[in-house]
Amino acid sequence: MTAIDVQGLSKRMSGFALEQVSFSVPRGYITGLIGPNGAGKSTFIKMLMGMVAPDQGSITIHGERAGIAGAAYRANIGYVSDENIYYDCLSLGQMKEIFKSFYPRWDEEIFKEYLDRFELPVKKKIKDCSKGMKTKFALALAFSHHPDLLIMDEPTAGLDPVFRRELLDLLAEFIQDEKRTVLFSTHLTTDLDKVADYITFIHRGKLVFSETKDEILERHLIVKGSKELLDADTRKEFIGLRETDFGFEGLTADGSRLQSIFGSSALYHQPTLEDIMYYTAKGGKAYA
Amino acid sequence: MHSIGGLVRKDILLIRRFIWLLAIYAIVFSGVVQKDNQTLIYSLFPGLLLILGISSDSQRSAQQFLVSLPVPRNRLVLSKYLSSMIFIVAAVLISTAMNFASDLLYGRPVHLDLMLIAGTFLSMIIFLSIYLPFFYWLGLKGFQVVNVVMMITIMLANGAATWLLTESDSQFLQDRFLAQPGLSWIFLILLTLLASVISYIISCKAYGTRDL
Repeated sequence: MTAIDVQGLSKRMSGFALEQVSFSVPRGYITGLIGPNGAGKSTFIKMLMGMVAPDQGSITIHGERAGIAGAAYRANIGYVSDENIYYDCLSLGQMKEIFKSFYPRWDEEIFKEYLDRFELPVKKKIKDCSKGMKTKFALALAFSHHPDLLIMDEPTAGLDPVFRRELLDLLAEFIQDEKRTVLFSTHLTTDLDKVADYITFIHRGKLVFSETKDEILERHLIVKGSKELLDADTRKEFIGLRETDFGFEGLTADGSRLQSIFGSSALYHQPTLEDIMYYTAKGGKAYA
Repeated sequence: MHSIGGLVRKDILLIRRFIWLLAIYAIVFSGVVQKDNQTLIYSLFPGLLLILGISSDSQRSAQQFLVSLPVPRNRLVLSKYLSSMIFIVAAVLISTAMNFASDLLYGRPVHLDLMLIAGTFLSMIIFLSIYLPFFYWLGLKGFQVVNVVMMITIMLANGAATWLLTESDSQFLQDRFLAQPGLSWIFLILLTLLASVISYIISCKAYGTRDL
């Protein structure tokens, strides 16, 4: 079962284009959305939330058409933006009073628990809060109306390492019933290494892959060897290649194939998500 | 409709931070200070309250918050019209109360100018009907310019209205109006309602497809 279904999504904006992106976010799991700056992650999330209209394609969330035209589907979504979207001049308590009136499943007890857990002073004005506090507040609001889907845009940016770990634990707790889903975009791939089940990678507006994290990590391989191993044919096997005077290091999406080509002449190790993002972003350009 | 109540409450909560500014304006432009021009407050104060009330949602972050709610965009627009109407009513009532206070202060006979109150109310709705479509159409980039233009319009409106009422060419219209005041008021009210409806439709169209 899917929580989010994206079909043929396209959007052209000045200096940027999202092109024919299609993938699904499975229900009951944590999906990480990765990509370099300007890849289209935030634009995609805004399309999910009905802030931006796609030029083509469709998005369905829990079977309902999502986007600018719809609204009711957002009652089941907990949303955390990459920047503060709440009224700076209000206190946390005042903002909560406004927010909760729109969500029938609002749970005041849960909100108070998160306030205590995150150590947020309810009378403090939002403009006087640090970035980390604002993010924690957004998380408290998002969790407190029992959403079925949590959509977060760079939620761990600006958070201290202690709270980042705590947030990742919260996300793991959130999906324990296997009915609730998390989608979050991030640059911090180490966070996804810890909690993500699925990874969707967008680069320059195009979908690179959308698979389980384990499949991605098993399929990809970092290969190191001497320059003599490289020729016109073997270069094509690499997503990204880094050459020096002494040899090369590259990423391939078909590790078993390259292992059969190079055999014991090269060294191999499993990449991290960061390696995959790095080499994909660098592309086939040879560089030192 | 529950969501509209929440949105209107939000607008009222946001205007509270301007309470001292509004109090100063109410005193300065009322008959308490403007002894010889008790009508000034009616043209300036409602306009100021309206602009402050609408400006609280002019930032992109505020618009993103509103659109992320499970509320259709046309309802967001409707709530803005409703809260603006509430601000107009409140402003007219405050203006009237301030002039009452000035009459008592200066030992003048307390009087209620119903024509002025009704005229202010209707003219502010017309003003709102022009202002909000610009707010939704231009977005943040043009909104600052629109705000300045609207503030200048409000400031000049008092003088313009006074000139219009004393200009001999408008005497004919005034005579026709006073000859059948009931029908004239009905006509003006219907015209104002029509302007509001057209304004709402334009605002919904402008906001309905805007990328934020």
